[in-house]
Amino acid sequence: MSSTNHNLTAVERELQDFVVSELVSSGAAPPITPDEDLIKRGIVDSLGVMQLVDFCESRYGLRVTDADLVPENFRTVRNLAGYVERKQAEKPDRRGFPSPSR
Amino acid sequence: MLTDDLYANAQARGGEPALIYGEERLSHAELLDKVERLAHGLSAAGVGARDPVALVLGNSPWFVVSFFALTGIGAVVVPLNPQFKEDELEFYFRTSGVRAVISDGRGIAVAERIAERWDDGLLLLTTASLEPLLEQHPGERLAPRAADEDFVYMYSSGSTGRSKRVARTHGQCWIEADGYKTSIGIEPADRLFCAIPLFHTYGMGACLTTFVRAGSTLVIMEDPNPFILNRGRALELLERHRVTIFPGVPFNFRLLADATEDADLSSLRACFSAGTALSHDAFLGFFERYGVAVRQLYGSTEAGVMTINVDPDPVATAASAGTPVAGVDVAVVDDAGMPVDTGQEGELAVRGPAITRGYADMDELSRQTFRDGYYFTGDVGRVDAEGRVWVTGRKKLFIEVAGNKVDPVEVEDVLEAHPKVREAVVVGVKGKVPGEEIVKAAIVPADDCEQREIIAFCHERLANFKVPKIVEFRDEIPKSPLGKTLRKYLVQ
Repeated sequence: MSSTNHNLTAVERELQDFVVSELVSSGAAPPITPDEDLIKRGIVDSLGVMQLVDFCESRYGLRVTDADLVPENFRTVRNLAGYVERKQAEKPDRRGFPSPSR
Repeated sequence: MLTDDLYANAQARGGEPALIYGEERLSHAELLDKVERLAHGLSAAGVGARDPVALVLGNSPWFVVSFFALTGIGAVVVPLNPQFKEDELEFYFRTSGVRAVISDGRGIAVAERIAERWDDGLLLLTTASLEPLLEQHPGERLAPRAADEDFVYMYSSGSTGRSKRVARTHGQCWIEADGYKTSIGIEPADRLFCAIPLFHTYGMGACLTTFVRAGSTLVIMEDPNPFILNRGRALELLERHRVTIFPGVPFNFRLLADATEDADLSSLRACFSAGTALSHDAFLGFFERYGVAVRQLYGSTEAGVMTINVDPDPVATAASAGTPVAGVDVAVVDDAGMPVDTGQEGELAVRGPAITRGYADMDELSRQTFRDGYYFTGDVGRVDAEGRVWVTGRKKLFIEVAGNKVDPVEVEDVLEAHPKVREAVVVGVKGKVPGEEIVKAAIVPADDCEQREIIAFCHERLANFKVPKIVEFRDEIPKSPLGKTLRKYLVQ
């Protein structure tokens, strides 16, 4: 999308694509950068949060708890990707042990 | 009038807090001083009495100071949602004939683009540009305003096309605030919590004008949206500032009932819910969690608050919107406009001193809606033998989205402006949060068309909360033999 894309992790890129395609218009709107404040820009409202929760749960197999619903996790694409990666690291593998962090 | 109340508060309790916003405090004396200075500064900048001025700001002390500075010099405030897109803001600017705009960030950038198409010149002011106006002008006493001068222009959605402009006067808004104060018994020692938007009629009435009328303190929550992410902060503020009165919408109470954070809300003595019906689950959830019964109230842009539930048994009457505030008379009428028997359902018609004169530039609709001294609300309800009002249905087809009301007709207008859309119907369907709705569009396409382009088209023209989250393409819209859209078949 933008020249900054090559610096993104895979999760950041997927989340950015989701935000652009589902939460903002693709037309005249300026592109979303990974550190852009999505809340301040009005892109993530309460419904947007629920869409992101649905996406993260289905795409990454996470369980987003009520305690995870804080602005810090949803403020930017990078914050959200960091949250996803932390949750993935916590997720127990088939034997019930947490996966090793990457 | 409310300007007089600002003076009375500064005189009687000048050192006590009027506004709390984060770490910022403003006493009643400081609030008055800022209002006076800014009022004279705005006059010097060219804002005059009767000039409509758009106030496109989120909740903050700047909103409060600007609002009372403008009304203090007789300008008419046009409060607008900062989330509105360019087309929406331009519609409101043009239909209210604004002469100036106060906004920040994205709002002012949009206003600058609109100003390029403006013939008469549009004065654009940011909060940064208000600072010098405030500093360079003296805090001299403002002239009293007359009760019949216009105070605000607000917009009411309805079942008949786009928003209708409603003018409300200084006298009407003062009486509404007095109705809140006396019905709830609000005292100067009370602390009101403000998490609802001040640009909306409910926030203006229940928070902005009422805290001034009562001489109490308004605790303004910074950035309440998205509330689902900020409920912990709301609880922290309610506890820390010992808030006593909390006007909210069902969405707030439902989310707070499920919050993971703990909070001591024992200072709360009254919670009120408006905008749409509070579900029994949300009522019970909040009551069991915090021991406070959320009471419903009933109001509208046209009339302000009409009824408030102050019943001694708030649990048994949880579903009631309460009794009329002082001076308000609620009648229940049949389709012919004749009163029905006590306890029978009908349309709610309201008479009172805070009701607008009518809709601007819509004489026929005004004649239909405001007649025989009553405002015909379009809502269905009943009044029981004790005089309690129970709102049982709404004639208007609003969709309740995360605490915002969406008028499906407005969204349909936008969709049908898309060249690939032949016909569109917009409905609310159940969302993930219980009791919440999301916007769904059923579309008969005129050409090959994708959901993504429809949503992008809406995003450019409508505030995010109005944009359909589901787009269903259909060969036809289900209709009755008389051609009426059968929306119930689309709510699936």
